[in-house]
Amino acid sequence: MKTRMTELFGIRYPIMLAGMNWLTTPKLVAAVSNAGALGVLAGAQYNPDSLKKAIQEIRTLTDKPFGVNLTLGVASGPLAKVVIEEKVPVVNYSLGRPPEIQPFIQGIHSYGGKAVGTIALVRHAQRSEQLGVDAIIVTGYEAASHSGNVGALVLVPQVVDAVKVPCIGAGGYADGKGLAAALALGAEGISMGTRLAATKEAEVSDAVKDVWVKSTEEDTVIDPTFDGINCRVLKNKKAEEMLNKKSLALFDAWSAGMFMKKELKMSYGQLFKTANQMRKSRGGGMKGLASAMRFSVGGRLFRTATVGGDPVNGILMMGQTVGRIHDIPRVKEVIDRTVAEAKQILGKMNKQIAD
Amino acid sequence: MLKTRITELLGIKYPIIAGPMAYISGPELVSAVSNAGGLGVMASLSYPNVQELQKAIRETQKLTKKPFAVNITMLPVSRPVNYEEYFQTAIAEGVRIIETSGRSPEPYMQMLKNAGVIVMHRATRTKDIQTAERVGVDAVTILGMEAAGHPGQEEVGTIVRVPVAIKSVKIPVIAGGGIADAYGFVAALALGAEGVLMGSRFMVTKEANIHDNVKKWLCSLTEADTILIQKSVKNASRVVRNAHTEKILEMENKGANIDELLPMISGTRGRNAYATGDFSEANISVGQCVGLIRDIPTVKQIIDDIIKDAKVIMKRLQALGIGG
Repeated sequence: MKTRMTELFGIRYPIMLAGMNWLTTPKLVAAVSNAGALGVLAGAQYNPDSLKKAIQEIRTLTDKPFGVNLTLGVASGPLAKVVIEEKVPVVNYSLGRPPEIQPFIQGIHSYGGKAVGTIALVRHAQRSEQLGVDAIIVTGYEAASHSGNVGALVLVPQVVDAVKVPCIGAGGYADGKGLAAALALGAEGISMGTRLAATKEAEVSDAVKDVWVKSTEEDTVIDPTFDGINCRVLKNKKAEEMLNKKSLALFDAWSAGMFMKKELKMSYGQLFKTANQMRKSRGGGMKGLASAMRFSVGGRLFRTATVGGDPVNGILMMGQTVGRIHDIPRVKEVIDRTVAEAKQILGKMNKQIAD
Repeated sequence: MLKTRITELLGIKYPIIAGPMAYISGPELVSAVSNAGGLGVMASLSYPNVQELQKAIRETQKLTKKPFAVNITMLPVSRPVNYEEYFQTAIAEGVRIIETSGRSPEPYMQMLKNAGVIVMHRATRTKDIQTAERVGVDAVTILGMEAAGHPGQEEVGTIVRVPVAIKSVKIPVIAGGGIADAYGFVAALALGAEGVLMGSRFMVTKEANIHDNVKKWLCSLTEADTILIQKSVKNASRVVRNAHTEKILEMENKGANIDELLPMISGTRGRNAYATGDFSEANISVGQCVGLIRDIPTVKQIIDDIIKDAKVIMKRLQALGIGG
């Protein structure tokens, strides 16, 4: 299956893994790349040293292309430096402002890497193209974690129409039907998160995998309460509790901040600098501060669900595609059957539509 | 010709169905869609009584010999409606296809089946289309969150709703929400749908009986220019974002009750805007696909283009070595 996405990344199938904090471990990333798709490591959970180690670990597990995803804006400078030093083949970024994005893309291009921007609105896609990205990930409302308000079916054809670089659909894709639909909409491939996390290779507890298998498409909720910006998660008791409470306890935020400091081995100076950067990037003032505090509380709860393997007391990100997930296969099986199903559907439609 | 179980069931040329729109889907638009090879669906509740509905059905029958449908929406409304009368009128006038929505058509199924009517039911939740299948409807339409009007409280996208629906029922599924052109049409078929429902796209056509100002305004909007109101009263409704609808949201956020909201969300505001072209005080229903709508063609042009462009899309995919 050849598309501009497979050509650009040098991969066999037009499928990539969505970088997900604490879920896209080097082992899962490598499994996806070894299956002919593009594995992507979420970088934001690391400090520069541990990110470097994770990238090196991926290289010991696969000789195929892979990617790293970074959230720009807060404390991302040193991580961006590592990604460039390590000459990561594909770099996917989200958020960020042009003064940071532009030199980052130049850095990636300097060693022949490919830069991919993630967007959720047409005008952001146009801006990313102007900044020089090689491809764009178009995130629909259906996606796990952060997205805009526009559904994939509407967003993809509009972005495809508005930019020249290849577009990759994200949010709502879990199988060959989705891949076939994305290709029909003009995308050059898809990004799958929750589907590829619900696999044997994913290093997360069976309790979490069980939630993904049993949940329906109506079991998620999207709200800024969880980490300060609109984020789609499992609608469990913990999530409902946070939604009902809305106001944020100062102590929770402080203790979560301390936890993050320890987790990322930060000094107090680094912690306050990061918190202040985040406050500014989220609208500044008290509003920005509240959002930044939610981010630290949310970060710890996300970690409880993933690393802690506890989908009851933690907050678990997941997309609406959970309604399409009914098993825990191997990564290779997911990729193979997605491609086979898409081929079969489009073959059948060819007869139906082409006279 | 493009054969699916839906075209076979309904006796139409193309699996394209015009979503019924209050005060817009009257004889002119309904007949135009059916004459172009799709299925026009009349919004029957726009008529204040069954005498008016009878007149509209007869007018449509003069304008087209092709199949068309009548929709009967059973949602809470401000005036009491005798639904049985509406069903009986449609049957008596010889309407062969009825689309129901808002509530399960179960109480009327016996009557409809006895009259030999084909019944389609439209819903937003998986469990509701399963109920519809159980009570004997012939086809279902599943709506994703992108849709205009009432896209459901759960806000699940069409790209997820459709494949789940295909797995949940055996009767043919029509996809609605976010479809306005050949891209959405082919994608919906790829997801397993056997037909598409399009509303907003047919609203912005020469035949739609609304003021040109409204059509031109819709052409200028982007995918981000709609919002969901009425979530607080469990009747989520997708409308164009303007000062009026933002005010409704603000009232909802402050805990306004249904009595306070009613004058603000009344359908007569839309009807007035369609007549006068002044939409500043109106809640105008439109889907997210409004971002894909940039011109005011005829209904026939839209349908012909979808079929023509669908072939181009399939050729492109074939060239990629997929689905050859």
